[in-house]
Amino acid sequence: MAAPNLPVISYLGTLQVDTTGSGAWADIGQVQKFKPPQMKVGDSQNTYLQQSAPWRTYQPGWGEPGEATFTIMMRQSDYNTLFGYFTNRTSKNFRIRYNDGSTPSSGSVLTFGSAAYINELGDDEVSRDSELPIMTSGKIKVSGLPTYAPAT
Amino acid sequence: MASDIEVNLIGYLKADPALGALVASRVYSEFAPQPATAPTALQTAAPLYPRVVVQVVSSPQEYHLGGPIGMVHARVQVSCLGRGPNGKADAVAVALAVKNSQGGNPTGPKLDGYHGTMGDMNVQKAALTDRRRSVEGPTHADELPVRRIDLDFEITYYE
Repeated sequence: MAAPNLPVISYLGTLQVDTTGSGAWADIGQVQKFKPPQMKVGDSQNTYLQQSAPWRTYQPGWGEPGEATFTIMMRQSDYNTLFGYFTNRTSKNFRIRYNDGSTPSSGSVLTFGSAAYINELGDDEVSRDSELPIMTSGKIKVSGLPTYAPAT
Repeated sequence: MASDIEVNLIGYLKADPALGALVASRVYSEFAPQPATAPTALQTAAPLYPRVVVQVVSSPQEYHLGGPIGMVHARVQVSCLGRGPNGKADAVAVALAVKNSQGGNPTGPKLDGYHGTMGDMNVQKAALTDRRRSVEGPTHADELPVRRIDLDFEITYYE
């Protein structure tokens, strides 16, 4: 149980994918870390020559939903799922759920638009000198307007 | 809320039936009580081992610019001790029971990876981060060696 409306740590936060397209959200397995998309709104300059103040002025431009990055510990079944999405260039609904609700499954949710896709996928270095699990990292390109639903 | 990680963790451990089957109620804070009888008599007196001793090593907390937010990251050492011919096996069994303890909730999460309510605390995460084994040899001929396994837990909670 998380304390309502208090800062929380990352533990039990999940990166999820809608496996069927109809709300069957499943955790992407073996996730070690992920970075939510850094969303951005462009800057549209609307300065004009006759304006009296010599300062450029702006208004919000197009929104850029950004990319999410993730790193998982490579396990064949989890990797195979992501590999399938990647090689088939499958658009999926992805979302992040934070562990800030009254239960881990009722936390705040950031949904990545409606048609995100994996645009990078690959293993990190496989090294003779490493005793750590082999890691796989990738990127999810977010498409359209992300939505945020606060925890209940 | 007067949260105390040591009190709440001891309560959690004492409520676990699997651990209780091994140590009864011998889960102590900081040190085990001293025996009232001479060491030789202890060998056949009421059992003092195996037992568990809980000690908070450090507990830094999180701040923002306006002050503390109430989140504490405690490092807690849980020592699992066994004595005599079965001391090592006892210590190993107790350490495993501590790691897997569920605080009396058979469907709840285990202590290693715990998230939820513990006593009057809201635990964000409990994780076993280190474990050490050692032996305390006997000083006198009629004493028995004590086997010890120290488990270090990092517990993040709101107080």
